[in-house]
Amino acid sequence: MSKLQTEHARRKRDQRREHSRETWRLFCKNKAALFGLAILILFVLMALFADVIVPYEKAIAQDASVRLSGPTAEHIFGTDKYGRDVFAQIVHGSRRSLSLGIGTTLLSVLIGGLIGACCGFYGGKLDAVVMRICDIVMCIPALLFALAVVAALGADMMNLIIAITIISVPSYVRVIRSVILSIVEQDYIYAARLCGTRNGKIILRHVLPNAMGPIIVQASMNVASMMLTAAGLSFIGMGVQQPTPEWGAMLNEARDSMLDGHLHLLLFPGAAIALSALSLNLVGDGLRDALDPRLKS
Amino acid sequence: MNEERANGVPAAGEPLLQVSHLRVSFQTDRALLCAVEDVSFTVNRGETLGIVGESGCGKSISCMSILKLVQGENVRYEGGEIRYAGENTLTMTEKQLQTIRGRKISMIFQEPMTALNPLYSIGDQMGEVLKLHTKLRKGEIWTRCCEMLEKVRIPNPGEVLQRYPFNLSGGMRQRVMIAMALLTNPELVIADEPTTALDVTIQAQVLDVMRQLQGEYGCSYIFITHDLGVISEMADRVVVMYGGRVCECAETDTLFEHPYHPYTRGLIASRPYRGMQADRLPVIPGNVPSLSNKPTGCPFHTRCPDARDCCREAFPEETTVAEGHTVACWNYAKK
Amino acid sequence: MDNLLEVKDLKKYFPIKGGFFGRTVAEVRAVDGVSFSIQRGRVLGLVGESGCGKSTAGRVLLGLSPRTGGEIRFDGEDVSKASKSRQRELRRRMQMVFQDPFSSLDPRMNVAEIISEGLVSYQLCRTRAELDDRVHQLMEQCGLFPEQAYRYVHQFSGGQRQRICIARALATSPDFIVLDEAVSALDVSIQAQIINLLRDLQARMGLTYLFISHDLNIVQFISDQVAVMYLGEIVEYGTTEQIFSHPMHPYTVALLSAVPAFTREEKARKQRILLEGDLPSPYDMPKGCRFAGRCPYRQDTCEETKPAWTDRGDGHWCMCHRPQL
Repeated sequence: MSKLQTEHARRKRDQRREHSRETWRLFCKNKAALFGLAILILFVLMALFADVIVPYEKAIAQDASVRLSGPTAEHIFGTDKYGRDVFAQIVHGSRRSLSLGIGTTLLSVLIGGLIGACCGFYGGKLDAVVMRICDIVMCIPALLFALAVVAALGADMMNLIIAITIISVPSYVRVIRSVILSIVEQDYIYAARLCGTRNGKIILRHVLPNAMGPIIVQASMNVASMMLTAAGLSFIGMGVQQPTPEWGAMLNEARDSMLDGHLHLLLFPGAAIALSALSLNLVGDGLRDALDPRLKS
Repeated sequence: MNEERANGVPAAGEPLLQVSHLRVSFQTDRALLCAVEDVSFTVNRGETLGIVGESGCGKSISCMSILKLVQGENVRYEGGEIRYAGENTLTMTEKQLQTIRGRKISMIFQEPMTALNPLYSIGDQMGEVLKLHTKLRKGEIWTRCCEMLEKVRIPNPGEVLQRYPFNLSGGMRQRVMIAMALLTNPELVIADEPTTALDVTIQAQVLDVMRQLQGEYGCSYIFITHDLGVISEMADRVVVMYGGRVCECAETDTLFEHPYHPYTRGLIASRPYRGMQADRLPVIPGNVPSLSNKPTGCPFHTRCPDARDCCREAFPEETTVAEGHTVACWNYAKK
Repeated sequence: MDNLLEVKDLKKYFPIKGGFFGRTVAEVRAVDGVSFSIQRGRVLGLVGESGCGKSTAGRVLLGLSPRTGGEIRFDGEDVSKASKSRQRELRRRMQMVFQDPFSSLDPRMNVAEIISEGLVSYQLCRTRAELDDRVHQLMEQCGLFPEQAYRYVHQFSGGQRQRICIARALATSPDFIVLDEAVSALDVSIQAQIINLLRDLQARMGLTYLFISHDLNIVQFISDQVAVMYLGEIVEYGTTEQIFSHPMHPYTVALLSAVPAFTREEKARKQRILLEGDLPSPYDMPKGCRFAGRCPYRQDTCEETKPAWTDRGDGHWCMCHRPQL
């Protein structure tokens, strides 16, 4: 008897191991996703070891002698109008920017996912009320709304995340709700009910996992726009405070100098945002495919 | 258009279309999967050829290949030929095929809702077929469409022509499809599971319409289905397919009364019939093999009650067991 | 008579919303006053064409869709009057197997997770080991190999998937199972296997089935009683022998004659009754007999008054104005 059970346990373990190996194999087969993952890892490492790469002082220290210089051996990405090193700003800015982009995305996916799933699953009055609220929130210009929230709560990183999350939740609720509606009508949801599974568990175990694909895609596409919204808030002084380096804020500042031909100020933070967004997109697509059991043989 | 056929065209009973040694594969990133392997059959003028088989047996793919409708980067027509009017359709160019598709050979699909474009009215879609293949003028096209709808027993054809597919019931849509397929008076109509999505009483209507039109126009049908009852009612001759191969071919009554191949026998036995006195149904054990793990040799050997060593090694030659009755099984192979 | 399930005047109307405020402007009477009972350990076949409400009836019975009216008594107890916990217990004893073995299994779960779902939520196993054993036992009963337990469902063929569905339904030890077109989507050679499995399980566990199907040959083989549904109503009810050998309702007769003949003998014997026209729109149902529009024996009374549901002897019920066929 116990021998049989260890046999079962072993088989279960083997299958699990094989399953994760297969997921990894599928992910690796998608070269673009692998490329995205590599870039993402580079960015994360950069954020983690920012102090090792270049000291923080270099990102904030103003040096009037080298204002607005292009890339040189000493300042490989050049300097801004206060003479601060752009490379150091990008390296240290990655901490704020990445955590803002990814943090707000995760938070809004989580909240939007749960609300959307409940709306799609229960329908009726709850659904109608929540959808109208979403409509209202979506009608208010995003920046204005965030401004109001930050103004009410005070300007710091945490409140910035809260403000941006509130703006983006309604669009998630809408997307996820529509995905959920198609899943709720599937027979396996009825079957789960017949098995006596309670509604909350049905949402968590059956509905949300099957809605994962579109959710991941939507989320990974939104990270960049989150970063830019944060940048906009930083620009009007409601987000990350100067001189704390942050990519979006750098972009905003670069606008003044751009007309004078100092393109490097625009290029490097822009490239950093674009690259990190792209890498997240690629990883998102790869994940969606790799996690879909139907694609495994 | 009927005169055209009377002039020097072979009479009923002569071969109209010959498929020989057809082989179609799909390239996947892991392997080359052979969906149709060495399939041969003939359709005679004015007859209905039934093709029966289960999912994945290659029945639809072999028939779609006739018009080269199976297309895509991963499709490989690896061999064989399909002779129609003295030419091999497999080597024809797209342009040549266009003159045959819908004009000489047309198709009826299983799901009439997806085969009809929801954005155009029935009249537009039927008219389009005639515009492509004939030089009829607008008024003539309209009258011809009305006539054809009347033939498939649709009441108020003039009104139906202005409606859209979603306004019609499933049975009506399928009859519209049949009318469309027969508009150009084709020589061959390929019907792929035309009644599977319909209810039995509607199925009976549709089958009746199809039979009647065949009597009037003298066209041939290839009737693909998994329903032995429908085949038995409609077909003159039957081809039984399994795992991408033809395993038996005979006249309908002969085949169902004296089946040779173990698969055909199993299929017929496992079908419950009226007045059956048994607790259990006789079954064919095992599962229908998928393309990716098709057995070697005779594909049926994994489920066959009389499988022998030779069955695992090679596919048997076709043996003629009676006139017009061929079987591909080692049990009947000539020593 | 020991009836496991009694259904009285079951109704299910679907509202059609329209207008600016989404008011209910009309309703579709999918199931309109259906009554039947099933004896313990027997099989009732429910036949009819698509849209006649047979599947809706099955779903309403199991509480998957709220009913508009009527009474469902299971094992002598009125399901709707029972307490919440008692209702849950009654629901445990009623299960269902769906038509499509692809959409009825969650693609993100493995077989063991699927089968154990009911065992876990009804807390039918005390330990992890007991759960594993029970899952393997269920798999074996349904002709699956326990070593397949941790595979995902996309790795299985249609027939094997339907076996998984049956194992899942059996997990909660039900007395009654609704088989909603349970073999219709399967290949011909697999249908027979699943029908045999269902029969074996029934004999071994004393199960009661409601077998919903449009395939009359299979219904005839598996059922003890048969009910024929047309547009939300049962028009004829009787033993399998009564329905198939002496059908009374013109619709049943037409339905039987529409089944394709297979052997030469059947073809010779057969008289085909082709029904004219299609089903009437569910939005505006005829006032009298719902079949009147397509009935070959239509009289004037049929279109005005609804025929009564009467016993024509030996428990053979029929809803038709004509006294005898």
